[in-house]
Amino acid sequence: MKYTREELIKALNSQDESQRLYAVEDILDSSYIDLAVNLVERLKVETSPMVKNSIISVLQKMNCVEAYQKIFEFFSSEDPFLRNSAVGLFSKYGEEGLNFLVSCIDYADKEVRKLILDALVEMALLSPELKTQVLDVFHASLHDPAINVVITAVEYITKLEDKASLEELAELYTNVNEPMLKVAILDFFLKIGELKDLKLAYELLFHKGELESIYLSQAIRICGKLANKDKFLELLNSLEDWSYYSEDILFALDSLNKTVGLEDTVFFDIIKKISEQKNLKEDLKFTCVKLLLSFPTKENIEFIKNWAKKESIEFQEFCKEAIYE
Amino acid sequence: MKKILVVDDSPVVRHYHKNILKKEGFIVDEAEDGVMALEKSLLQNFDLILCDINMANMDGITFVKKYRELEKETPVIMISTQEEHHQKVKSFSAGANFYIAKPVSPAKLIQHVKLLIG
Amino acid sequence: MNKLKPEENYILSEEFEILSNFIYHKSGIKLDSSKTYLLSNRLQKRLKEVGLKSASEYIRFLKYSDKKGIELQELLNLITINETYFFRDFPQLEAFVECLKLVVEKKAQKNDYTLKLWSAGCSSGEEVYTLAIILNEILENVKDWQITVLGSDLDLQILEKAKKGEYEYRSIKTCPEEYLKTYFDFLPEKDVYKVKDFLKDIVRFEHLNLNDKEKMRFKKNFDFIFCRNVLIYFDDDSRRRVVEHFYLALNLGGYIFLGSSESMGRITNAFKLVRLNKHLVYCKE
Repeated sequence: MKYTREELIKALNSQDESQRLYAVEDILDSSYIDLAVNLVERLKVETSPMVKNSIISVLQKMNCVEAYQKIFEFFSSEDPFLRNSAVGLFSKYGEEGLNFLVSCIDYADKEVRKLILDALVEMALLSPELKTQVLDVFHASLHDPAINVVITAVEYITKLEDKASLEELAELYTNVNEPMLKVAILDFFLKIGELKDLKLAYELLFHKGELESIYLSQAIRICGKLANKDKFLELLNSLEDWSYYSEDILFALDSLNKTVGLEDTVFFDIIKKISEQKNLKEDLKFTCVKLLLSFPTKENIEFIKNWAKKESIEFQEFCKEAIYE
Repeated sequence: MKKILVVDDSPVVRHYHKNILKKEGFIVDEAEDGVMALEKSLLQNFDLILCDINMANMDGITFVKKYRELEKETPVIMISTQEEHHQKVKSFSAGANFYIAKPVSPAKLIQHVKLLIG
Repeated sequence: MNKLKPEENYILSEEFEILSNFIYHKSGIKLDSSKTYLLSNRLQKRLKEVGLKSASEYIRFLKYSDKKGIELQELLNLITINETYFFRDFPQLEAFVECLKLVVEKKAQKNDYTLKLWSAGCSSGEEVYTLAIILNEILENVKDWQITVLGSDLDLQILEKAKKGEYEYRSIKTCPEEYLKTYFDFLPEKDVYKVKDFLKDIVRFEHLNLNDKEKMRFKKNFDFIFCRNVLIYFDDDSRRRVVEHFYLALNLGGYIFLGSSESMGRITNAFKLVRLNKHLVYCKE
């Protein structure tokens, strides 16, 4: 059924929630893209959560340049729903949306600048052809006066796997003394770095000698990836309680296994000790089994069999299958 | 051992807070938005929740409101980059116990956590 | 000795978590952590079948190369059990009973003795008759109530089977023993259990495509809607539209039930999450 513009606008502002909901859907099904502006206006005053959600979903499919400025104003809204919605919307608007946001990147409010980055990263993930332009903005944001914007930029450079940023980030690590920023940069190295890059990360971490505990998780993982068994064991021995770092330890062991193999029994002892932890996450139990079976000695297999007896039926099934393979 | 839920859409921020808390001996779980946080916190008991405000799907303030509606009294610390007064007011009205600005130093975070759950 | 070669792919817990999150975002299904091992094995096999080396590669493939969603469908089939049988997901039905008591009490106070239930995507009708049985068991004076349990499905053939109400032991065995006698007749010549007529009286079946906008807008005044493990196969947009229609079809104070591993929160936050004893349910407020 085809409705006129006037009918749709009237229904959109009806007192009856169901009429408004129908109107939103019917606007999408119509060819009147310019009605996006009316939808944005309605969003400002709409009280029904269902209708609001519907408007957002529909606006995502209506790339209407005339509506951009109004949507951008939502970035400054007190209502987090509107702020978040604006981020989601712009991320769907491709190159036109990108150009618009780039023109706003020097906005005075740092919260808005951060939200622009949020929209841009989603945009780049959805439309890879825009990645280069988006990365340009992120690089520029590494020099933003607000530290949160900088940290966000680092995070998103990592998400977009931009290896070219490596040197710049290493420099930032050395020059800026903000723990959360350093954590973000270490994350970058862990996710994207090759062997030589990880060596650099290692230097950055340990050059002052004493390692700050906030970086322990990543230090353990980096040692694993570098197959630096001695440092890895040294770090473990410095821990009071392994249980908080089980995931990191297993990650490191997995990395070690992939590069040099886990032939040393000291590693299997570590895995066995972790497996005995109360409340060990289910997926980590699985990892323990896989790692022990990477070197299926009689001891390791016996250990798994005995362990499985105390666990759930699913786990027993899994262990059986894994041993058999 | 006390259990804390860290709610933030940034994996870096979650990681950062998790590292600080793990070292102090807390068990930490994560959620990336209010929806996941609500579902997790209703199916298991936490001793404390750390929550960002700006998240997709369901923001922090809405999460706290809905959480409190379900008669949960677990303490909540809002951690946000937002410095505006009205955000603080909204957070407390929704039922948060503390409001700290991001990025937060390890010492400050632990101080607030210990104040609430010892 | 069978040493696992370093380059051989296996799904590390971190990768598995990434994949779980992806599945959750796409379909709303939360992977039960106790099923991790079995699923991980199946996923590994699938990776080999499609010739990919890691969960990350697989996700990239799903996101950018699986335009028609065929691989996603395969994946969902791997992780969901599609069998339908009586009294499926017993804990959720217990939650339904709690809600039912509340709704019935409120309605009786207002002298409103109507009850409308909808099983959307009812397939061969097991869920519909299950609900009908529960109503008969829970309502004190069931004859005073004007009850409709609607079962709708896209598949005409399966609806015919539902209308017949004849079931093999396989689907019936999950039905509590005492109900078998009360609500079914055993037909030895066909080796099936047939739903008794008095139960069929409160049940009705309809051919309906949940994506049919016009038809869906006519559905109104339901107290309960069940749509379990159906929406996971829809894309985001269709899913949202269907749920919107469900919302409008429900009375205020009505409840909606998706599959227990599906997440309503991912689709919309318009329904209120309510705790009833140890159950979490979604209500229209």
